[in-house]
Parts: sequence; C-alpha cells; structure tokens
Amino acid sequence: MSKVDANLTSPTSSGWLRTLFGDWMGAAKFLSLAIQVGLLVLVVRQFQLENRVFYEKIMPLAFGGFLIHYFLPQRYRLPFFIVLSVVGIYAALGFPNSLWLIGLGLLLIGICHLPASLAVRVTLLLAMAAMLVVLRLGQIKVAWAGVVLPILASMFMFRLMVYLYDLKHQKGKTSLPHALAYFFMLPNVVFPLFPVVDYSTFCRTYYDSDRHQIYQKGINLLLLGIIQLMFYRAINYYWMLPPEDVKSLSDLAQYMTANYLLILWLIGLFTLVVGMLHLFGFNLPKPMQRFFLAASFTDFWRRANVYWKDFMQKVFFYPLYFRLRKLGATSRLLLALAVVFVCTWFFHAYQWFWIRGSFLFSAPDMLFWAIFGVLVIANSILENKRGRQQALGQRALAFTEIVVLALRVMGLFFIVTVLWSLWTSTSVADWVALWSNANITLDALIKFIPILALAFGVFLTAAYLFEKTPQRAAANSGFFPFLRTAAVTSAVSLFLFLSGKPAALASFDNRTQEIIRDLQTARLNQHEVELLTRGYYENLNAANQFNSQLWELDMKKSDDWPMIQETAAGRGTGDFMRLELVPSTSLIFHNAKVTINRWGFRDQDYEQKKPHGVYRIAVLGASGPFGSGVSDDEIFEAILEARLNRENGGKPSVKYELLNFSVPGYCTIRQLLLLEKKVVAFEPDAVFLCATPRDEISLARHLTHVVKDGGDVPFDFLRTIVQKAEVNKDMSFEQIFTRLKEFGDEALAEAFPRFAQICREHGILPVYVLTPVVTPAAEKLKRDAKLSTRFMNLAQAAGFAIVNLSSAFDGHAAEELRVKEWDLHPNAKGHQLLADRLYETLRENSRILLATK
Amino acid sequence: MTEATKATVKDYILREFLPGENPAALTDSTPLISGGILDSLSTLKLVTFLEEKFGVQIEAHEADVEHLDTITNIAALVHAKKA
Repeated sequence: MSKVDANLTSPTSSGWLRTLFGDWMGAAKFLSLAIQVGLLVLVVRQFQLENRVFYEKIMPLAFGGFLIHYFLPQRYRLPFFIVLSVVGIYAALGFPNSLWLIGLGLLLIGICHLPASLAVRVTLLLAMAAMLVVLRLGQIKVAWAGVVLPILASMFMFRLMVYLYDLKHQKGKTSLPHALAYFFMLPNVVFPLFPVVDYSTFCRTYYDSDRHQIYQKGINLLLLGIIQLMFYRAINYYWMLPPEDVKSLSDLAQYMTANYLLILWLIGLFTLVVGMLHLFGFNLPKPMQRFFLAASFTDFWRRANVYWKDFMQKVFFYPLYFRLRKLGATSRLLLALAVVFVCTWFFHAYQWFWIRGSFLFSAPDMLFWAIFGVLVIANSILENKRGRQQALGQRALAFTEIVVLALRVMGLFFIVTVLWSLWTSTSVADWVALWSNANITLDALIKFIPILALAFGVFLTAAYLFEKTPQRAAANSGFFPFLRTAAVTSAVSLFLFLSGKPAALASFDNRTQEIIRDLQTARLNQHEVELLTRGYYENLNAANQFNSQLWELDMKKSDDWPMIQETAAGRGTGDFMRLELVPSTSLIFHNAKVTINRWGFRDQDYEQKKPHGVYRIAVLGASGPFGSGVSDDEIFEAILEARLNRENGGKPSVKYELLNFSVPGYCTIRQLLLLEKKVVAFEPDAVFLCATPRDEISLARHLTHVVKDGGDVPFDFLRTIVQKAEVNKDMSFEQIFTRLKEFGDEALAEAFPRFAQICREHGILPVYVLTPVVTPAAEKLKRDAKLSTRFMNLAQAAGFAIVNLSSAFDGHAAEELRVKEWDLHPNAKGHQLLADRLYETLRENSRILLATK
Repeated sequence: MTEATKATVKDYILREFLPGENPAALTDSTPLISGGILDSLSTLKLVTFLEEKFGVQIEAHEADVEHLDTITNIAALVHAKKA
C-alpha cells in the first residue's frame, strides 16, 4: 500500500473496505475515477474519436484494464500493463501481425542487451534497420509489412536511441518489464504519431506521487484531448478554407489561422495517449504546453512538443555542446542548435518514411525548418546573453506586462502561422500564389484593422487567464478538492455524452442539431475530399504533413492501389485528352475485375453498328460510372442494362444496350470530345452524361494540367477562358487552377449546348444524370446542392433531359458505400443503389426510354 | 562543505535566474528543472558556473533532472565530483 493509501485508512473501516480501498474515502475515489473513465469511454465512442479501433477496442480495454489494475498490488501493476498492451496490439492488428510486431520488437530490445560493446550493438541495430527499410520500400514483398512496420517504427524509431543512450549512461531502470512497457505501451498501437518518450522520465515518473492524483490527472488529460479533437473537427469542418478559395486578405487570414490550428489534432492525440498512460501510473509531463501562447521562438520551441525537445536536448544538443568546450559559449550554442535543427528536419523525413513508406524531401519542408531553425538560434543566442528570468510563483504580472505579453504572443502567432502555411503548402510557388491571390492592398489592410483589434482582445484575454501567474502550484491532494475535480470532469463528460443523444438533440434548433451530429462524425472537409479525389488521378500525396487526418487515411492506403494510367488498361494520348483506355485488356484493378473491350471502353464487346430493335444508351462519366473499385458486372450501368432487359422490355423485340464510355478523371470537355470522336459512331439513342457537383473542379484541374504542360486547348470558348484568366504555363499549378476555377460555369455553359447540339445532329437524346458522391452527411452540403441546381439548370437550358439521382445514397453511411476508407468511389452496394434509382426514374420518365431514332 | 556549496549555488540561482525573489522561497528542495525555473539554456549556464566555481567537469548526461533538479542534488553532484 502506498504512503498516501495508508493515510486514508481509518479505524472505522470494515474489513473488506479496508482490504480493497483502505477506507471509505478510498472507495469514493475509486468510484469517482471509475465513473469518469467509463463516461470518457462513452464520449469517445459517441464522437467516434479517433479511429474505430481506438473507440471500439482500445478505450474499452483501457477502462477494463484500469478497473483491474487499480486493485493489483504494486509489484503486479507493471506486468499487468504489459499484458494489457499486448492484448491491445492483438486487438488492433490481429494474430499474425501482432506476432510479427512483438517478435521484431523483442529482437530489437534483445540486441540492445547483448553482451557486446555499444558499437557492435549499434551496428547490429543498423543492420536490422536496413533490412526493415528494404521491407518498408516493398523491395521484398511480405504481407504484414504495410501494417506492422509503421507501428513498429513508431515504437522503436526514436525510443531505441533514447533507450541505448540511457543504457550507456545507466539512466532509468534496466529491468525487462520497464523496457517492455516503454516500447509496447498500450495506446501506441492506434496512435503511431506518438513516437518519442524519454526512457528515464518514463521510469522516474512511474507512481512518483499519490496514485489517485495521477489517475485523476490522466482523466483530466483524456478529457482535454477529447475537447481538443472536437475543436479540431469544428475548425476543419467549418472554418478551414481550400487554398484556392483565398481571394482576399480576410480569406488569407482565415486560411492561415485555421491551417495552423489544425495542429489541435496532433495535440489532442498526444494528450489522449499521455492521459491513458496516467491511468496506469505513468505520471508523464504534458506533451504540449499551451504553445499558442508562446511569446518568443525559444519559448515556442520549448512548449510546442516537450517530448521532442527533450529528446533532441538529451541525445544531440547537450552531448555536442559539452564536447565543444574549447569554443566560446555563443559558438557552442550556435553549432549545437544548428545540428538540432538539421536533425529535426531529417528525423521528420525519417519518421515520414517509416510511417508512410515514402520520402519527404520537399522545398517547403526544408525551407520551413531552415527559417525556423535560424529564428530559434538567433533568439537563443540573444536570450543566453541577456539571461532569462523566472519567478517562483508568487508574483502575478501587472496589467501593462500582460498587454506587452499579449502583443508578443500575437506577433509570434502571426509569424508561426505564416511559416506554417509555407510548411503545409504543396510547393513554394503555391505558397506565393496564395499571397498573390489574396490581393493585399493598403485599403484592404486598413479594413483589416478591426479584425486585428479583435484578435488582440482574444490574445489579451488568453494571456490574462493563462499566463498571469506562473503555473507551478502543486496539485491539491485533499479529498474534497479531488472530488470537486472529479465532479467537474464527470459533468463535462456527461454533458458531451448526452448532447449527442436524440432526446437531448431534439431540444436544439435544426442548425445546432446538424452541427452536433456532424461533430460526432469523423470525416474529411471539402478540401480534403478534393485532395483525396485528386489523388485518384494524379501522382499526389493527399497529405504533405502530419497536420490532419488526411495523412492517416493515406497511410492506410494499400500499396497496390495504382491510378488507371499506371496499369496496362490506361495510356497517355499526348493530346488534350491525356488519357485513354487500352483496347482489349483485362486485369484486376483495385481488387476488381476490369475488362476493356476492343473499342477501348469498359464493357462487353458490342458491335459498333447498332442491331435492329435495340435501344442503345451511351454512358459518359468519370471514375464513378467507370466503376473504379467494382467488378465489370457490378457497375450500375451493367446492372441497369440487365434489369431493363429482364423486367422492362415490355415487348420481346425490344432490347437495351448500355455502353459505358466512362474514363477515370474525364471532365465534361473531354466527354464532349469523346462524344464527337467515338460515341456517335455507335449510334446511341440516348447519351447519359453522368455528372457530379464536382465537375467544375474536375474541368478546371484538367485545363490547368493542359496549360501547365503547354498543350493545345480545343474550342474557341476554352481558349478565350484561358486568355481571360490570364494564365500561362510559367505560373504555379495552384495559381492557374484558382483562376480557371472562376470560369467553370462559363465553360459548362458553353460545353452543354455543344454537347446537346451534337446529340441533336445525330438524333440522340441528351440526358444529364446528376449522380451523388459518397461522402458523409454534412458533406452533402449546401454548397453541392447549389452547384447541382446551377449545373442542372445550365444543362436543361441547353436541351438536356434531366435525371436527378443526387438522393440515391440518402440514409446510408459513407462507410457502407465507399470502396475503401481512402477511396470514396461507390462500392457494389453504391452502384446497386444507383442502378435501382435510375431504373425507377427511367420507368417514371418513359420519354427517355422511348426516344428511339 | 555541502552547506557552503548549497549556499553558493542558491546565491547564483537567485542572482542569475530569480532576481527580486524572496531568498526564503527558494529552498534546497525547490524543483528547478521540473519546476520550470531552469530551461536548457539556464541549465547550461548553471553547469558552466559549477565547472568554473568548483573546478569540476560535468558530463552531458549529468545535465538532467536527476542531478540538477534541486539545490541538494546539485550540491551532491559537485561533492561527488570533488571526492
């Protein structure tokens, strides 16, 4: 029994109470802790934080484990935590993968303890790392590598360095249980971005104070992490702007601030991990210390990621600084810090490699670390000369000091926000384009002053609330303060949990209900969906930093998930079309059978000349109607064709043929060219132009590629648009795209009548089929609805018959209908729903099915 | 010897990092690194002071919370080095 537990024992306690809890106060503390953790499990599940394995398996496992762990004698607690961690690994990865992970991990730990010199052990570890690099690169294919190696790396890639350092200097405990708990710690299996913890701190802080206080601190951290993740969602869903939407100074400010605040995701994850570790006695420090309120670059570096800073300080900064004794203090500092920032940049790329399996050597990344490194070094040298004065906690800041502090914090926030926007840009040119698109003028700056004043008010309030007094007050370990904290945490958790329940939701207005429901869903924002979609057609990493959930989605992406042009079924054309399907090919694409017929479209091998008595429909679309991710017979077009022939022929002589001319990535303009060059030769009676609200973007992106490549632009109206947009191939991709996107409507307004005109000339009925996209509910957006209405009106005015299938996926969750988590194309079920809805619509609208030539 | 070392160290910390603070508020067990009084740069300054003042050489792995977190720890380190 710990010292504090013993203090709680009262002479009036009954036998069982004394045995289990010490006394009634111990029982009350346990009960309150159990209730709080239980509530947090419910909240995490209610809000689907952060991934399914976490909220369905790891959180409940941690809760159950905590309840048992609480009653174990001290000597059994660490072994129990290890067992729990192993169970967590098994629950997350399954049997063979968890065996590989644990086996490889034990091998790495074993090498550290070989009775050989440090040099020999390091050499062996490097040899093993080289072997793992080969596996990570996919040079040798093993089924488990993609799943196991990122998690193994997150556990070992940095911790091994710290562990070896501490072994060398005999710091921390060298017992096997401590090592196993350190490397295999429970939450790590679902949060691979949490790689660095100092080993000696891990050992030193294990039950270093009253255990109830440690548990309560953990619960507080868990709740804080949950709230941070909710704020992240709110910012990501409602405040974050796509960079191409930045058109003014206020847009730029909104984009940069939201972009920076997305780091709340990472903060939330780290806080959850550390909070969970507290439940098992690891009294680790908070990983981030309100770095939004940092007042200098060194202050930011100290607060932003405490664990990383400690790692760099221990393994690189101090050893180098102490080795350079012969140099002056400033030179030592400069050199040692320069090495720290080169290492930080390199290790960031190193971490990226292990987790993503690709290399991150981008100009924005290098530039960011170079600029940030120089600023921190300069600030450190200045601070070292001037001295940094602290206080012991008694003296509060005067109001004028708070005002000065708020100004400094705001200034630093601005600079870091700007740097962050550079770091997260896809290229330096795109970042420059972001600024030039914002049209910053003197007039705009003057109009921006009230926003700056408002921002200053926010910083002033935050500085007053959080920075007025140094925060070194020890936690109050009294019984009633403990219960008070527990009551507040429980109340907040209960509120969060109940707020999502239908009965409670009903008391809010519709908009609030919609927001609460949305915040309970893990989804991508509009821009991220577009980046993900763009990734289907371009060799592009959707996420270029660990700054949002998007990279996590990318990480899950199978290595065997090529673009169509990377397979035998697709090839470049060298002209405006850029891509076409290769006739007479058959292959497995995205786990589904794809057959391209002799005419170069994905369908059966029809005769070009329409047989007598056949009603022929040509389907034109992009990757959705193409059937990306589903087999030939699962595409809605194939299902519909079969059903029409089975149920709706009416007369035995009528046969329907649906020819699928869809090609991944094709926009309306390319479909127009395809209609002219290829489709009309097949004598269709009707053409279904399958569209989505994203067609405008798809068109602008394609045209951007053509401009960027210096290719020929077809049609006078398109050439006029390129001229009016004042774009040329020397501009950045984002800059061209941003400008061309503005002309999306105009392009469609010209393309639709041409399309309809060609149809009329060949006696074809043009039909505009608006198809839905697979995204979570809120993504269905007013924005999409507005665009859809606009495009349908344009098509209708051009003479198209309209078929609106936009509600075909209503009532179904995105995860039911998408091919994979990282691939939002409709799966077989989605295609079935589309086919059913289209069939019903066609039956109601017999004009389309009867419009024979 | 140890008490004198403690007094010297305390005097330096008060002068260098906590000017204007009540000396009585800084005790031998006040957490310096874990309490945020010493950051990495201040720690290096303190190490330089200890090396110059007491003629000892402190290693990189000793510049940590285990050896320098309190005045008592610091005095013990200096004492061990000089022994």
